[in-house]
Amino acid sequence: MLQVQSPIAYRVATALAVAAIAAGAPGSVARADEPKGGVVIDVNSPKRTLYPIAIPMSPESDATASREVATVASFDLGLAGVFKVLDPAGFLADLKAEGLGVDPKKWKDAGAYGVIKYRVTPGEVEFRLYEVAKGATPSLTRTYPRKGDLRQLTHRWCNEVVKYYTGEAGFFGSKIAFAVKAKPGNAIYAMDFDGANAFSVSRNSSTNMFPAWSPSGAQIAYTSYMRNNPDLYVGPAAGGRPKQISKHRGMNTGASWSPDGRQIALTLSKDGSPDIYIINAADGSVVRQLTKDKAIDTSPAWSPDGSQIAFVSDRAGGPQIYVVPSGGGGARQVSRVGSYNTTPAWSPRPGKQILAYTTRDGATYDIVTLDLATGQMTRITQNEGSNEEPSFSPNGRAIAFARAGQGIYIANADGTGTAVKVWSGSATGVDWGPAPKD
Amino acid sequence: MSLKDGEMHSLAAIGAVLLSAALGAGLYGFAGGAEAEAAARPELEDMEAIEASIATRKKPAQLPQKKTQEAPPEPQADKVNRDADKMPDPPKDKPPQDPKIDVNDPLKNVKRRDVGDDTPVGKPTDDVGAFNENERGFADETKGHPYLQKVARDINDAWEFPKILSATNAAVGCLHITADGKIAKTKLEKSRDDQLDQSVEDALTKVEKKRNNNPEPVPADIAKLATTRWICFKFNPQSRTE
Repeated sequence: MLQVQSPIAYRVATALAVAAIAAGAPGSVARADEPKGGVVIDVNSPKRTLYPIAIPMSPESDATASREVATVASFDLGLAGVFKVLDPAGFLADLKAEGLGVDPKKWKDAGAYGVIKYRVTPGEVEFRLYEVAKGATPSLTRTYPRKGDLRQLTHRWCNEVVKYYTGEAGFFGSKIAFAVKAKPGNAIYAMDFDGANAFSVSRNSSTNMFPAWSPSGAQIAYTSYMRNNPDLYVGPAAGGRPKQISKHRGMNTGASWSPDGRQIALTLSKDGSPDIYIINAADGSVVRQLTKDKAIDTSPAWSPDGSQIAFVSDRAGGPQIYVVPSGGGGARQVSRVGSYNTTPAWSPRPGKQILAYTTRDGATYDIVTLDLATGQMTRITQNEGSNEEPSFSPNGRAIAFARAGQGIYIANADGTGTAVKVWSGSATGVDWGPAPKD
Repeated sequence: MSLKDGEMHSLAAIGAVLLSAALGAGLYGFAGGAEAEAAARPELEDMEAIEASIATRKKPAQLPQKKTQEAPPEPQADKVNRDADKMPDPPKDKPPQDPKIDVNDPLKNVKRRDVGDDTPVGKPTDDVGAFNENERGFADETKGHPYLQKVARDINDAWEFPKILSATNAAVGCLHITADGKIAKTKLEKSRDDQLDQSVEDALTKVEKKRNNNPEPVPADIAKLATTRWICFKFNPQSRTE
């Protein structure tokens, strides 16, 4: 039984106590400076949990549409890294009686903090978000005309929900490019981040690899042997005839776009040893050579602010991650743990300098992140197969990577939780595209 | 040409002398060089001694481990040492013995002061008083009491607050504990943050269920103070850095 009382004196006492805490008053059990009768025990270490959210099926929509919305929304919010989508088996509310509304008590008793309700009609989709502690008035509502498919509308709504709670854009509706074995050769594919709607981008029978989204999301650069040399091509992200951009003798591989989309960093071996170069994205002309070393320098990755480029070099023996100013200068080694570190990718989170990369751990490979400012390393995968080629989601909260022989997975970028499979089959060269445009 | 015995002996003697001289000269030269080299070296006392035994092979840096569930905080209620291998602390210095105490009869000077043997002390009572709805908190003498610390630990263990939420206020949740250790009532003094209040309500409900299913009677020494008023907890997620 719970009684709620709010006598003014107690409110004043609480306010004074909070003020005392704010002033840095020491002590963890009782405070002498609190009013008489107001002595309480401080508890200040809650378990910081995921936000419990319920996404019940809509009884007002047709069953197929309702199931699709609930499934897509549950998958999206489950991947966001901040929500715990509740099992419908624990719901206590009468969904028919509630309709688009909620009975807060019923949802509170089911352990929900948030509830998403929706209604799908032939002309529109209406979504509502309730915070049960705030009562029966929705905190967020959106109505979308049914122009696009239901999946895309649901992704759009889920981005709104993430933004409502975190202030950040979600990544739902974004796309992932990757290379897959084809007969013959290797093909470049793109798909929705959740594995839906996969299609071939390269549309040729040659060997194609290392796809890289342009910052606008309109183009994909990739290396292809179409003319019997690993040359660099840029083609429409929707698929279609690509344009040959770089065709130097030897390697033209591992493209990474500058944040403004005007330049591409890549590996060229035109002078013998593979080195990092920057070329003009429009015509492939060399802007500058960034590294000049007898060692093999590969896998450039342009930082989100455009000032640095990470790459892999074996100049110190085994492959390690280095960072060099994009305007040219000395390279510094940043990976210090492990003898084999490759395929760096920058986190797009503003104000952070975080790299994800592949590291060898015994007989397998795993994904780790490294905060360049603090040196803090975080493990993203462990004891879950061999994992390679990480790529951050557009908001930096998730990382996609290839698990050898199994497919493409997505994991929380903070190292918590379990990775979710979004593509089954052998895949390499995973590259997560930019945020979707509304 | 042939040589006579005398000539052969003479030649052998000359050869032996020459050979000895050559060997001797070589030995002298070698020793002289060594002396010169030794002279060129610094004196032993001028050299820095290096303790070779402290040189160790540098341990290679280890990969981090994947994050798992956060370990629960160590209970603070009792500070009992559970290390079976730990030796007990050495006894502190004995206080100086009072010279007035007769070691043969230490109770000789001890007398009851206020009451004689016949003074009535009254009936023992179990009545600690009724619960007062308006009384809140507990007296200073009970703070840090293991029983209340256990209740606080239960509260802390039961309290979950979603990590995407932040609260600028604190909520106060209170329990009415009965002498048998059950939770008779709970109350929430609301903050201005609805979701914080929801988390506190959940925590109070969990503790209520737990303690009613498995009640722990209130010890006699704090029975009055702990059962006649609300025992209150201030829930302040702000004071913890994530």
